[in-house]
Amino acid sequence: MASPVGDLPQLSIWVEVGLLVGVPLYAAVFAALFQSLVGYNRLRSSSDIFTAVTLWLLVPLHIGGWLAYQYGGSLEALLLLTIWPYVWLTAVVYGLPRIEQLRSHDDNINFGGIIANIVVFVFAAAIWEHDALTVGIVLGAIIALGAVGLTLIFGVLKFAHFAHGDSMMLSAFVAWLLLNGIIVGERAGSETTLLPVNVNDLPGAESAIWDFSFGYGLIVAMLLAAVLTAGLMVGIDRMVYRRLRKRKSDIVIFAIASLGLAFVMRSVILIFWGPTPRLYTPGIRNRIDLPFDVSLLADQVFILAAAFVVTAVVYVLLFRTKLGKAMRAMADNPDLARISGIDTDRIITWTWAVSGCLIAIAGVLLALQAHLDSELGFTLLLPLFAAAIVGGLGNPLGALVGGFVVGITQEVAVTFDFLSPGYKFSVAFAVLILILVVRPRGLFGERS
Amino acid sequence: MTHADKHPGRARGLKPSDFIATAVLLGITIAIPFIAYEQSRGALPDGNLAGTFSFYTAFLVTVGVFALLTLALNIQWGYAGVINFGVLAFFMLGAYVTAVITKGDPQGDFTDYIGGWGDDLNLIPALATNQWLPFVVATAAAAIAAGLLAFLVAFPTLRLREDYLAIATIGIAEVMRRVVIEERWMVNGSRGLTGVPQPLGNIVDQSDYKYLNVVIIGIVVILIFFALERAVRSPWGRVLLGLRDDEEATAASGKNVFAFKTQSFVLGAAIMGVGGSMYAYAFSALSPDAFTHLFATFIFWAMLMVGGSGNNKGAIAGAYVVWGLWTLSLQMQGYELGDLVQSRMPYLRGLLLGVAIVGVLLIRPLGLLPQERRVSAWVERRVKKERSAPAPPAEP
Repeated sequence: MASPVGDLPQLSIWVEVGLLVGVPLYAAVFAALFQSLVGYNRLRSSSDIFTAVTLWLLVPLHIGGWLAYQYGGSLEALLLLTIWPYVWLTAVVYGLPRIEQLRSHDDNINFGGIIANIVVFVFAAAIWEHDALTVGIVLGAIIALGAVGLTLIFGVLKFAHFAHGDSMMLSAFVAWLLLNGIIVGERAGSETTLLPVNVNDLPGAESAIWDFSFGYGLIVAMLLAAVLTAGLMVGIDRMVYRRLRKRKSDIVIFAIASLGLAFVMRSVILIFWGPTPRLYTPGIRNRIDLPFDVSLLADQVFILAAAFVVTAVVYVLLFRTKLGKAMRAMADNPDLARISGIDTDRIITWTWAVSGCLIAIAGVLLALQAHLDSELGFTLLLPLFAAAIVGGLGNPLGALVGGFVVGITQEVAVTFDFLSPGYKFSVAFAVLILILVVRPRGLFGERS
Repeated sequence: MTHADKHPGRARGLKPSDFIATAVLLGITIAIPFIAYEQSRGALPDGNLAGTFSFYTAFLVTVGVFALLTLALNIQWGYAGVINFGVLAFFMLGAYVTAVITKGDPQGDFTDYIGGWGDDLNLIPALATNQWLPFVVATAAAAIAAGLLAFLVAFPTLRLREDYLAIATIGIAEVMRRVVIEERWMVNGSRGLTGVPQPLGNIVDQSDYKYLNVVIIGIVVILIFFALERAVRSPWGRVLLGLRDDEEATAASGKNVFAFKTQSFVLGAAIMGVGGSMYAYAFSALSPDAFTHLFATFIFWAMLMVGGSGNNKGAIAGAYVVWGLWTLSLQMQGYELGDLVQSRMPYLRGLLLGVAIVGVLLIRPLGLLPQERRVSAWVERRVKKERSAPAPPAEP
């Protein structure tokens, strides 16, 4: 049978290998998790086992088989395809009505199912689409940084910050301004110098380091932008959110105010820099080769390294300092935190400052990976919220995991034939809806 | 004892807010014709009055369409407290469903879309049913499609925290835009659809259609307005108000919170579908570029917040005021302001909208026409009465 792809003959051997290793691996991972979870969390009925196996083992196996067939796999894939009416009928008629039941009294099964599927998905991506996987990891690191900030704000202030994506873009443009000192008119050549002094004036700031496309100027600009964005966020909190807090407004009012601010920020970008997408440096993007047939842009190596450093700093801040302890205490139970003597106003200010720094760094790194674009901010909310919700809203470590899950899924899914790359953010939305259906509190969220 | 003392919750007479609302409405109504006069001077050498009238009618057509969407948002947010940040999705779905049903078969190499049943709906040639039947069918289909989409979004998310639905609606708006752009076979992709037929379009000249259209849209707005007023004054509407003010208390009194929220969300989305349908008829051309977050979601929030959420009259007034200010600010572009300022005027208007939302939230949270308090006013009246009544004599 001819495959719909056809022109990837060298891949099909990998497809066979992937299926031969993948399916047993899948069953093993699933069985192990299932076993350990069932061990200490007794199942109420056999119908739960049946539902869990259908939803978490058979349906994904069928989707996997279909994808493998798309990539030119043959026998094993077809074997999986032959059971499809049974799988989908069971899933829709039997499984879906029982999700609620499964979720309410035994959602460790769902946890195991989700983790097993993520593990196998990443494994399959490593075999078949390792280029998309590496890009996904880079993007995941950026999303994770943004989502950690989002989840911190949510944890301490309890509202969904809809200006997060737009403030990421605004701070990326602020870094651009610091770097070049110019704002740009509508017509070509109508550039206006705004800052008398800029970072690129520093000696040697523009000459590229190693294989990167930028010099140390960008790093300086990024750190300056982080400080400025932290200040901006604290200022906005003083001017808008604190007044709403004093009035004891509903959380929904906070959400609408943040939506209004998102559009203010987007308009500010458009007013100063216009609608044309921009790049930090015109420099050449060098590609470097790593072992295992992996190749990355040098800039992407920088993104991963920067994300790692920032994550480590945030980890130390949250889990090794008194401030972080107070923040987590407040996220856990604001009233208890207040009566045990924590200065909540101070903690809120620090939360905005830390989130502001994360926003700026994530924004600059995203602009380095893609480009500076005023349009990107609002749609960026989807992967950010998807990551935060997958990890459990309010849980910074969860958001980190969620960022990678969403980033990888997004990049790998659009390599499939039936999804054009334009659907990238729609995939993040699909992940979001899926997690809300099967486990609304996220992977590591508290049961409410 | 004056009347106001007897009914403190329902204070009769003029309040400061009435003056502000009246002044703003009057101001815009007076200013728009001046703008129209200015604008029409270039186009028509001496027929200025006709030009002014034409401009104002076109303005009212847009206000009518936007008023429908603001009314719909008011049912969702103003009455039931359900957030919808993806008005775009339902608006766009309504508009495109209408277009593909009323249009004829695709013509030419560069158009491709599904549907195109407009010509097939001429069932009784003697009655010219294609003058009105496709439009009734298309508007109903738009409402049903938008309502179904709303149900699909609400089902997994409405049981959870309020902001989850808000995020999900942003998502569905993104998916809707992407599907329209990427799936070229469906609704012609980013090239858009042009030449959407207009109801009763054959009986007047194309250039005069707006005078007929403003009547049609006016009738639709009035019908929907009175239907909604009726609905929110019914027991159903009182449950919605209760939901918004205190969800837990409403749930405790035995109301199915999820069902009521879903109903209001689906009803609002269906009206958004009708609004999209009216948009397609009024402008006769659709393009995914026209449905931006600013123009298809955010502006309705600004209209509702400015007008006063929880008040249907406020929703319509908000649409009038915000679109009026938007049109007036068009005039600013006409002045000589230098390249740097002039080229940024459109974005400055966007900035002002954002500032307006945040400003209204901070300074005047109830908007131009504050919602009328009903249940809570009644409770306050009772409490006051009982407090002022002499204490019952103690039991011996």
